[in-house]
Amino acid sequence: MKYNTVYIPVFLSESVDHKLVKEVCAGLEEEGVPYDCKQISVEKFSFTSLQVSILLGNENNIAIFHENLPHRPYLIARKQNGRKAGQNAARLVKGQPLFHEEE
Amino acid sequence: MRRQLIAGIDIGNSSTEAAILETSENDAMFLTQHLVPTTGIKGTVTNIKGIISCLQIAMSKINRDISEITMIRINDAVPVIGDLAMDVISETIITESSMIGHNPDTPGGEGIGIGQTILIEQLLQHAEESQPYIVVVSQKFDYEWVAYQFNRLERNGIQIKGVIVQKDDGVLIHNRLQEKIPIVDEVTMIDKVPIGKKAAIEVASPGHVIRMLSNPYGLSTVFDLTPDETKQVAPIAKSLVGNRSAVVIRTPAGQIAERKIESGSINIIGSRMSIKVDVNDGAAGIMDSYKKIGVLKDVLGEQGTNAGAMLNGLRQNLAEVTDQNIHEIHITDLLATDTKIPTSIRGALAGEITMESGVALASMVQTQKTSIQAVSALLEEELGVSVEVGGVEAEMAIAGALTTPGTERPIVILDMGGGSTDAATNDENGMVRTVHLAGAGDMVTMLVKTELSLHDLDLAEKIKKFPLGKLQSLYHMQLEDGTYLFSEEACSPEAFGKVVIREEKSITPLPIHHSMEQIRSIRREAKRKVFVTNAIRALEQVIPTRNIRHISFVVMLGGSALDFEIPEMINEELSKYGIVAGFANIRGTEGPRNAVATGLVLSSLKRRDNRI
Repeated sequence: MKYNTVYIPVFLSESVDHKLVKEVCAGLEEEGVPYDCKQISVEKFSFTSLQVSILLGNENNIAIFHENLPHRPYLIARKQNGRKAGQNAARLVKGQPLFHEEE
Repeated sequence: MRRQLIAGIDIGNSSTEAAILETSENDAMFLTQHLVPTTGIKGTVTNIKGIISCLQIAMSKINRDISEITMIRINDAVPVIGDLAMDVISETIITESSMIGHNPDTPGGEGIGIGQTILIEQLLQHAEESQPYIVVVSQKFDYEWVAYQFNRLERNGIQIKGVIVQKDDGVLIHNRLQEKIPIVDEVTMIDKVPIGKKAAIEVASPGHVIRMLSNPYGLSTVFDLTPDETKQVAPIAKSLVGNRSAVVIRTPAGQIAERKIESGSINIIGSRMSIKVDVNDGAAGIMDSYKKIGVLKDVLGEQGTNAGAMLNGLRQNLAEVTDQNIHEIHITDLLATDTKIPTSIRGALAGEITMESGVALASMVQTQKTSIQAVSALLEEELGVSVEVGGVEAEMAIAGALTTPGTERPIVILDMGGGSTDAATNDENGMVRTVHLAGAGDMVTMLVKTELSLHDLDLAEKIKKFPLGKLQSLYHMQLEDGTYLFSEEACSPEAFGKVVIREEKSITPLPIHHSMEQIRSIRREAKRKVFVTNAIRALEQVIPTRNIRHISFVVMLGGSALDFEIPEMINEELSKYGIVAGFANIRGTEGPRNAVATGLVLSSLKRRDNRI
């Protein structure tokens, strides 16, 4: 068993705001799911055994993908909801109900 | 004789049904039927709209027009109307003293911590080494900063025993602490936490529930209480049972009381005697007394009490509905059941609720003749078709039920609708006995709505009608019985991970935190409390010998006989008496629906045949 693949990869585009990264990671940590940040330019977008990946785009938009639904993001969140987005990605792995984006 | 189209119309509390038969000299055949929700209150002219649309749709099914109908027979709607009420009989009030006992998904750390409450900004300025603290952190502080300060203070010898956090930061702070302490987060009303008071905080390890603060003697140990004081805090312990995390803050002058609300008593007046029952005795006490008093004449509530208000409210509603003077309203049946009513705790800080005990009442009144003649006259005028009011509803229901293959006289029917549970028997000589009892589908909906603290009656209705499932991944859900269902399409983010109602074609995610097992058990318990209780009560009254064991078959009718679990529950109960209960299959095709409408049409044929 490859333990090093049990985490949610967070793919960062070049110009992403570091505050957003911190918030998304805080959300993942609060929910207790391991994660790892990677630069998208270096690494190809991929999935791990947890089947959920997060993409933080150039416009600071947040897209959460599921391996079983790879062609479109399962969830899209705005930059002000970074924490909740991180939590949702974690809850997607845990099978718990998701938070809804606050207007 | 020319061909005739005879329509039978059954106006029920919740649905209006039609059956249409074509007849000529020597043959007769049912052509079509339909069901619509009843418009307005049963037995009033407001029903006309529903009747006409029901007939139109039924006729359009066979590509014919409503004008071709030659005669309409409507039921002589039984003038009984039911209503519902409920009230709490206990209340937990916490004054001065405070508690927080809630279940954030992700509290931090585990264990128990005891200390004096202090705001983090105060802690930084003047913390004393000799004093253990429980630190209160409002949402303006960042978790990194908080953890850094705690670690620094800890090294300086300050004792931090626990943390109360406003934001969802419990795990984040905990992960950054060198000394591990319990942290309760998501405490919304943090500014209401009393400062400078002794507090205890407990977080259970994952998969466990708190043990110390949910135990009165645990609280007395923590706060060093006398036996008298222990009695006082017992309600706090009670309301914290089952939580994963909790905080209790004791203010020395504080008082906690579990107050028994003076629910008052009700006076059950019967033909043999009258009995006064205290509502605090619960549903069992009320129903036991009801059994002793003979035929019920009326029920009166004590003035100025909750019981009085509850019964007067019912009377008031029923008076308005039946257009009678409130003093002429006499309650003819009463069904009381115990229930749990979620009530927010006074003095709680995170919007905690506790399940207080309560009593739900369904009652039924006999009204003077309803205005069914007015309905038939107006219907005749609107449609230009002759309308007659058919026989007694119970007889029509029996005539309809007898079209079920395999039934014969004598027959016992149990009609489970929305507003009432009715039963009727018919012996070989055609003698009919009937009973109308309060409490049916609507009461189940009310119990489900209350016990799950839903705000939406339609949602409660759906929970009653359909089984549940829980979405466990994008593509599969677990059903109530433990089996799995897979879908081609990924579920929506709104439904993911949630308990959903599985309707025929769609799913509705539930906006509540209860587990599937809890919702299922509340739903089934509500059905059992109403329908199983009423089935036994109804049969006891309608069977000539008053002994349920003297019958062997019961035919179930009505909308609630279509329910996916009620017939099975009744069957299970009746099998203890050696009775087989089955739901009707009217005319061999209609299931438990359309019995009265079918009976109305058939009874007109019989009269004609007798004339010939």
